[in-house]
Amino acid sequence: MKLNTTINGIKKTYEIQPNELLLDFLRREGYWGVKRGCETGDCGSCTVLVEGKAVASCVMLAAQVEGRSVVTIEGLGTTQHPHPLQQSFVEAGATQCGFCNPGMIIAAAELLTSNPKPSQKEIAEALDGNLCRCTGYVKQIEAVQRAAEKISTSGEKP
Amino acid sequence: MSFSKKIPTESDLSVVNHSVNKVDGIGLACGTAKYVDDMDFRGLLFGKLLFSSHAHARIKNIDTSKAEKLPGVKAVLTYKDVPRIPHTTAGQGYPEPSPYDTFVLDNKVRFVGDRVAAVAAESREIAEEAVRLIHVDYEILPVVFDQLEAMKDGAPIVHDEEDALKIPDAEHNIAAKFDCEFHQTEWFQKADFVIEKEYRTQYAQHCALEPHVCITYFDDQGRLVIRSSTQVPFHVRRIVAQSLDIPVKSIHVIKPRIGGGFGSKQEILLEDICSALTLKTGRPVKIEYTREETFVSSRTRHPSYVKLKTGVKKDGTITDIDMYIVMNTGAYGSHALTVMMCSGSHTLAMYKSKNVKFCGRSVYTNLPVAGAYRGYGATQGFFAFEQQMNLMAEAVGMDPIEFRKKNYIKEGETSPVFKAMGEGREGVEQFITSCGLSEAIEKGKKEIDWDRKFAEYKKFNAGDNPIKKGIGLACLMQGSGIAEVDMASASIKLNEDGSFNLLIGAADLGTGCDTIMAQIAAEVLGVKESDIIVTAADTDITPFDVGAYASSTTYISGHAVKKAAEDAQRQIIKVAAKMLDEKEDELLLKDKKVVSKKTGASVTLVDVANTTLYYHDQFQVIGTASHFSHSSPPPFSAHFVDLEVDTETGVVKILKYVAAVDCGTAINPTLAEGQSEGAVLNGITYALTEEMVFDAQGRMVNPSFTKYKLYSTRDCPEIKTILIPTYEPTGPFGAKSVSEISINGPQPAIANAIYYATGARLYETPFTPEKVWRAIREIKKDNEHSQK
Amino acid sequence: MLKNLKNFYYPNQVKEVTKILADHGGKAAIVAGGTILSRIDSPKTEVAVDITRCGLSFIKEERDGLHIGATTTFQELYKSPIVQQFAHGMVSKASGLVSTRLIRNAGTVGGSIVYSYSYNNMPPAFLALDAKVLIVDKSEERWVDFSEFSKKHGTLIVGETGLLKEILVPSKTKNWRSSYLKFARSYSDWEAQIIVATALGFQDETCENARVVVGAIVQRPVRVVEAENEILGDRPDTKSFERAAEIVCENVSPMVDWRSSKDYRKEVLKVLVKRSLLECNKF
Repeated sequence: MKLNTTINGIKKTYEIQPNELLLDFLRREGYWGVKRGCETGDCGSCTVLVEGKAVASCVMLAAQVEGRSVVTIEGLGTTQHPHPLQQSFVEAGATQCGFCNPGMIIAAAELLTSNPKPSQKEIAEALDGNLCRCTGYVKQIEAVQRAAEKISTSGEKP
Repeated sequence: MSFSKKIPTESDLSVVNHSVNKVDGIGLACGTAKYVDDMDFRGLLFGKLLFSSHAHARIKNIDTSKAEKLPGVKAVLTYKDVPRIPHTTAGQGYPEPSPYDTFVLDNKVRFVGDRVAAVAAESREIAEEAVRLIHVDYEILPVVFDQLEAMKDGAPIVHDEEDALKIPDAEHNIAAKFDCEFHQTEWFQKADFVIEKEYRTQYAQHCALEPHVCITYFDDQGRLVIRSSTQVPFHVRRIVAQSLDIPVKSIHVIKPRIGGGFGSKQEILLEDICSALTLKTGRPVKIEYTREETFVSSRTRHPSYVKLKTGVKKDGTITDIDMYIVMNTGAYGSHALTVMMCSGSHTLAMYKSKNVKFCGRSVYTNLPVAGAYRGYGATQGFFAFEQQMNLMAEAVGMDPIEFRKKNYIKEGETSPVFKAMGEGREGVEQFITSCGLSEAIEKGKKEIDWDRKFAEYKKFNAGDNPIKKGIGLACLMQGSGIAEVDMASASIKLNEDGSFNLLIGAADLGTGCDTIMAQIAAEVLGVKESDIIVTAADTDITPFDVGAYASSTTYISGHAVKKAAEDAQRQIIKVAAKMLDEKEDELLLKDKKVVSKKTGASVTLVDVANTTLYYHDQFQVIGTASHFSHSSPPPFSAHFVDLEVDTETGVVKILKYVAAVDCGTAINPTLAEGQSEGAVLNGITYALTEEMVFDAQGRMVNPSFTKYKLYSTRDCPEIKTILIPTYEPTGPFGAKSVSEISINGPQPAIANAIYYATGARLYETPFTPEKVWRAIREIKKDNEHSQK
Repeated sequence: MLKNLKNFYYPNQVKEVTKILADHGGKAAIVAGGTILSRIDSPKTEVAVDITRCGLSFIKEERDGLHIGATTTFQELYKSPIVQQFAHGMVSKASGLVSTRLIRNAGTVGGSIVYSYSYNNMPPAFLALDAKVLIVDKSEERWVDFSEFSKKHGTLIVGETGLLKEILVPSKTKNWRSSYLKFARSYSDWEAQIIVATALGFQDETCENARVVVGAIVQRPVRVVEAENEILGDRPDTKSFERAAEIVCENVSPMVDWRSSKDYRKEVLKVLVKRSLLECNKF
């Protein structure tokens, strides 16, 4: 079937299978930053924004994003122009193996859009769907706080 | 013994001991870093394995005809189609100390999840369907799941094949055994108190977020390329060559970015069978485990049974330690000997005792295969040992902290255990050359507010609130690489712009070692870490390294990098001396220049590079070095936990966790903290929620993150890490290891704190609410009984 | 997974939905958040009907109570000030404890009651608050008491051609005091072992309404009326809550699985019911 959707700002029509997971579709299209960690909606490695909301793309069908906007980690920033969250994750030591990073950064991006100055507790609640086995979450929560400060001082948009 | 000591400060060093950003960080954070599966391969086939649904059975007949006829299926392999060569899947130095009890495919299955057949097809769906179409006739065999049962006469024999090698006692399912004893006095004669307790730990898994995945293909010259999520690329090359009977020279292993390993990827898990499918089809093949497959058919931590009998004098001197450990290695003996030995070698050497005895067995059962897992046996050993320490302190009426201080091994001291117990063979005598445990204890105590809480919680717990409060501690050590076994090498070459290519065999699996190595090289060469371009873990390009395990990378590989950089440094200085007309020993490398200490004159690295490459007496500045170590200096750590126990439900809530870690010089303090924090959280859930549960047929009942619970950010307690700077004279810039040690703390520290809170001592992990609740009920019953 | 799924519909109106359902008999499946449908193997499903464009995402308070549209997400419920203030925030609290943020952002309240897994968070809350659900089938609408609805698997009540449109939490419960306790291995555990939802309605010093609902530990959530009767009347006290907790344990036979034993679950259930009632109590 045909799918009309906007991925990272680019509107296109794609050919998909009706039963295809959003995760599989995105990876097939080369959005490798969307990771496969569990396929049961438990680990959050595959997190993307759909209409600005962070969701697990492994428990969503690609067909569900018809007419909607999707943002993957690739749409947030680049190695040349990273998003403040991406920069903060590196500076705070929140990237270890990095496999959870794209999903966690996307989830944090949703948080900062609606809540520019989140408390530690609010960050913990917003990231509770993104498992990480490397960090103990200490530096990742710090990274989100750091990014929030960066955004508020620079006036950049999250 | 005395050693020259110099704890470096930031001002002495310009790159090392600084929390620089990870060299691969921005790619990871931007999602552009390439893991195994983040690449397109034209004509890629999807590999899928058929797993055994029986815990123990012989394959009487296997019919693959339907699967082969399915359109899109390109290969179906069974034991009839692959070489039958006994080998081990453990990624260890050669010859491996593990039994050769594994075949690429076999006519017998030994656990639910064992390999039966492999398929390669044009799509994942076709491969799955083909696997379903394979018909297997099994002769069901009796099963054994408990390691103590498996050792008994008449138990089902897991490895009855005649061609397996190096199994000490297959008839009693003994995959590995080790005994040693030294005593200076009669056993338990000097002891005023003798305490004997049994401890048990559970099946648990690593849960690296990236499941096991491997892609194999032929390059343009027909050589086999293995792109794998591995901690041990060079061992992968050797063992695939061995198991498929192909030459090492025709294999090229590439380790791209890895999504965590924690020991699970110190294993040849998919590379052999994926390669076999490529050999058969000539096409690129990918095998990617699902999370469920990872649970059911990868590797686990060894469940353990520990009996610890110790003697102690009234003055708090430990007189005797007798440790008996039986580990469940599951269906194959990967890491069977070495994990079991580490449960003793890291614990027994930590506390001084005149009499020490160790008796260890690793035993086959019909359950999933245990392998390497962060902590590597020390975790199971410390769970028992650090509770026993509290029991002994209590028996003699000593404060548990003072009791530990009295007994732990100090700088300049040695233990006969170092020599007696290596990894899989005799060890190496060594003295402790750095130990920050005393400071770790003091700083950790202060951070957790031990003295105040110790007194206040006692009062609080006397009240009738069903919530009780507890604090507990554990002290730990680990090793830094394996003495006289682990080896690493590095090459470093100078480019025109004064940057360097650093080639290392070391495998960064998320640990940050590419950054650590770049920092070490940069420090020696007077440049920034960003001037070091790291290429790692590619068997065609980089020199040899045993791989990422045994807490060896910073200590062993880091030392190789330091030596290689020093080699390059000498070459640079030699050229610069001529250019400046100064003596070599008056020159140093600083700020991308070679500077004269005497005159202040300098040449830039750019000038040196251009001279050597283009102008005069041309040669490539390239330093190369290897390193192995005669010792494995232990990092030390003191862990403290503050928690609450709901005595009516048994729920344990961790309020705060403090880990004070002596890792020598932290090459990158932020990354060192991150290693400890990750290990602590993994240890906390290993203590509280994580458990692989099996039904009566040996099937895992909770193979998903929905049912096997890790903590998320919302569950996570406050975790505080304190790095204790010491200087290890044998390590690069004074560094020791940091990656494993902290996983050993949470189980015993939490158990000790639960005991403090409730009076109930837990001898079996994990401390699920029900287990805690039952233990508390037993205490209440006993108290009521004694009151009557 | 959904290997026979051939077509996706994106209707804009409820009547289009019911027409598609009627046209395809049992072969059509409704999709809202997709967090359940994408995980189940349903070979009979040939058509998916995405109902998220039908105006069913709403939260509004009207005279008869709190109206919640079927495609309202858990996160919307959790964060809604209206829901947070209604009946002491029971529905908000229950939604906030659903799995993780990623699932709360996608999953919808309708899905969580139509697919009635024993451990679902929402049914005990709705049962404790005398909720009703609006079902539309072939353009006919009918209100069903949630107590009836929750006795059977939700899909049986809705039927193959029916659609759950909205949920009404009646206005009489607005000022009830409530408590919602989830007993699970971690915050984000989808599969609670025990859920206890209690609500008490007071007129001055008298407890006029009491609801004691137990979920997760039983196949379908149950109200334990005998226990509620212990609490009704003047100034309920700890003793009456303890008796109520005892009665709950006598009346409920816990399901058992590998996570914990029956006698343990009973004991914890008793503790939770008592604690939950104490939390509701005004005195």
